[in-house]
Amino acid sequence: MENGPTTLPLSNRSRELIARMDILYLMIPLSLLLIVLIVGSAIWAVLTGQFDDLDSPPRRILDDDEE
Amino acid sequence: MHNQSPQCSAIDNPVELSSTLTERYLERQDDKRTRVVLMVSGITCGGCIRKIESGLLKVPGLSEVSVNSVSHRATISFNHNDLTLENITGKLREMGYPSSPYEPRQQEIKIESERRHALLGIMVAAALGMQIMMIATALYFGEAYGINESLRTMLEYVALLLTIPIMLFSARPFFRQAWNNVKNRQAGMDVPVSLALIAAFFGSAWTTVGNPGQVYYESIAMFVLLLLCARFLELSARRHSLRTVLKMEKSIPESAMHLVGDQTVQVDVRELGIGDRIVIHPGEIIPVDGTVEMGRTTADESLLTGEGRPVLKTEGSHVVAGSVNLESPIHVLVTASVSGFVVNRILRLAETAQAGKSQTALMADRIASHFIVGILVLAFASGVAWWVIDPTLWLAVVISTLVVACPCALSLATPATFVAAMGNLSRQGIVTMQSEFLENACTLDQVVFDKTGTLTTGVFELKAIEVLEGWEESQVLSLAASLNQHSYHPFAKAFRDIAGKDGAPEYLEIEDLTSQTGSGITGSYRGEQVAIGSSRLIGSLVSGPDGLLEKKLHTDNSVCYLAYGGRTVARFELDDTLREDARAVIQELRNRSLNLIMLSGDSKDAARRVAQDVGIDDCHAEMSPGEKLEFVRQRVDSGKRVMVVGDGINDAPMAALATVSIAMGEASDLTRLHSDAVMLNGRMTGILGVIEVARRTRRTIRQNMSWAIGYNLLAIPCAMFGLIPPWLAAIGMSTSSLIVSGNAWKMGRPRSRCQTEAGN
Repeated sequence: MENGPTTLPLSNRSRELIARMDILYLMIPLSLLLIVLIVGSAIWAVLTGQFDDLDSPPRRILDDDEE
Repeated sequence: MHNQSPQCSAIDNPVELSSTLTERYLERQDDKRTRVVLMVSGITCGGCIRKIESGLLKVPGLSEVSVNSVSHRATISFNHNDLTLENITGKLREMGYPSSPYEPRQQEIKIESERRHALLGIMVAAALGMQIMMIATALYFGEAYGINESLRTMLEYVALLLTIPIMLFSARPFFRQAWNNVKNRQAGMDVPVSLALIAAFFGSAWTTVGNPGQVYYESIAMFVLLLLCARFLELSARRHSLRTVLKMEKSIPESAMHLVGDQTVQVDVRELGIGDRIVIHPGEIIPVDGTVEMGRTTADESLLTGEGRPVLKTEGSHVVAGSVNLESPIHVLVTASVSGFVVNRILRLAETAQAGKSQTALMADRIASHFIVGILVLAFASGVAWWVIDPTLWLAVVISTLVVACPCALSLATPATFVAAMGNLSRQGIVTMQSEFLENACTLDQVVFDKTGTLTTGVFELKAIEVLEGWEESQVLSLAASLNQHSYHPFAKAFRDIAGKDGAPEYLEIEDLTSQTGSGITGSYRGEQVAIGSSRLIGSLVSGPDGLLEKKLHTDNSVCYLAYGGRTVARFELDDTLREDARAVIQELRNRSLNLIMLSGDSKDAARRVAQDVGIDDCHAEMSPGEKLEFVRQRVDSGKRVMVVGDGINDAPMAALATVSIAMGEASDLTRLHSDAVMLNGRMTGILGVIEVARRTRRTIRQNMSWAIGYNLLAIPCAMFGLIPPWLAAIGMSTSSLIVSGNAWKMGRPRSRCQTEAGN
């Protein structure tokens, strides 16, 4: 890339393939759905207090077992 | 005075919860399950938590338990058809963990919701930001390798779509703050931030809908994300330094066992009034400030003092809310309303301190607002200039200039440093009462010590008595004790202790009890004037030659006299011991080439002995409070910066005059003390801690300022000349912000060197 965009060593065939990535028109809008899921679960996690106590659970494994 | 109060058997009576109280804590989830949060005391380790959890789960009807090891709160869900709250607290008590229902306080709710909001903002910005970055990469390579026009348009629209939630939700705190600033005609650091975000967003949107130009969605996402992270760290630093204080507040139970007749009723602490009586069982946290009316126990006041040593509490002793009753049940007379509790006073002090209203912080605020106005002007000017030079670049330059400027060292880090420093001090058992305290404590010339109760423990013992012929020792002692019954003077306790050796002290009826500040107490008994105090006071009261008073003394002990009817009838010799760490602390202070002075109202011999023992050369004895005051006034007037270390009560005027004053107090005394700071744990090493922290605070602030000046001088011109693209500006600004916040956060931690000094 040092030589700038115009002299990239790509064949015409590759250029054509890149230009014809039609599947992206489907995949990218689909990825938006995924993002809605991700953000939704993140919000759920915060609102249900998954991050409220970050100190006790890591120590719990070191505690002695009962009896 | 105790025959009216009910017997301790009241403690065994069944506990009644007033129904309104119960209702308030129980949270009904459906027609079967109810949730309650309990404050559990007695948790010492993780093992306790497991024990509580598994123990409670065996109770039929109880479905869920979770105990937080930090806040010691248990969240419990149970079937309210099978169980009542009393069953659960009873079971916990049986297991050795007394508990009380808990309702989170305003401040805590606020901090928790702030934290949740910040986390939500970060999550949204991070999740969406990642997608935007990916799209930005695609667009970047599209630019390089060639891209289908319609694909590019779609990618840009998707990025726009993803940026909208960031702008509307994640960046909302910046906009809100900026709007507040604008409304109040202030210039806060959120103003340029918001302007940059809005400019970048609408500039990009303009391009996206088909106009020439560039898109900056990735810069927006990154900037918001990084800045939110920096703010989150700063929030955590403040939370961390306030943790000691918050721990205090959390630990105070919301309810108390109110004693009505010989029944106890569990009531809300806020419903208690001054003069109400409550019962506190062993192992429970004391919910009020008050005096012990019945019972004898020890209390752990470490919450306030950082000292784990149990403190003996007998009838008449003060107890403070938040300390733990260790041994046996006590009845306590409430002496303050909730807002007057020592703990709540400390909390308010911490809150005031958090507002950061000290001179330096105010100055930092002023400079910051000038700085921000300057940035706005510079960004506007460079925008105009670039519009003329190269119209395609003006937006990028304006965004970069607005974004790159970092006033965080002023706006965020300076107040945060003070808060962290005060948090550091409070962990050492030092409560600061005045926000200028740290600034004043870093450059000192002289330290003036009071002797009694400061260099020495202030716990006196009667060493010798000489009585006038014809008088009995017991007579003079009961007179002395009666005169001293309400006095705070360190001698007073010694007399009261002797009088109370075999049971409660029996005080004589003394009329016209008057305290002669710094010299003694006068009163009248059966029509005759009685007085106890220094040779000076007694000398002014007796007439004619007086054998006891004029007798030559050869003693190192402190001496006081008792006069009755114009004659000296007894001479007492009292002695107290040096504080164990006094010598080491004095040595350390001498090494710092501070001028050390000891003032004492005591006799020359007694004062000189103490001065020699600890290693102070400059010792002034037999000084009246007025003379001490004059002494400090002279020093301060001649431009010296004087720290006064005293007991905060008898030397209050002197403390008020000094540059800085520290009182060696006890937690229960806090409300009476007049001083800039109080050392609650009774250790002199606190003085070293104060000086150390004060110097580190100043150094940290200077470091942050130097960094800020260097960074901004370099970055702003570069941005204006178009050398910094918006994304790099975002990274630079956030990094700078993290550096200064991190430096401030460092202040909150104790430094090991300081600790070892204290240990020697």
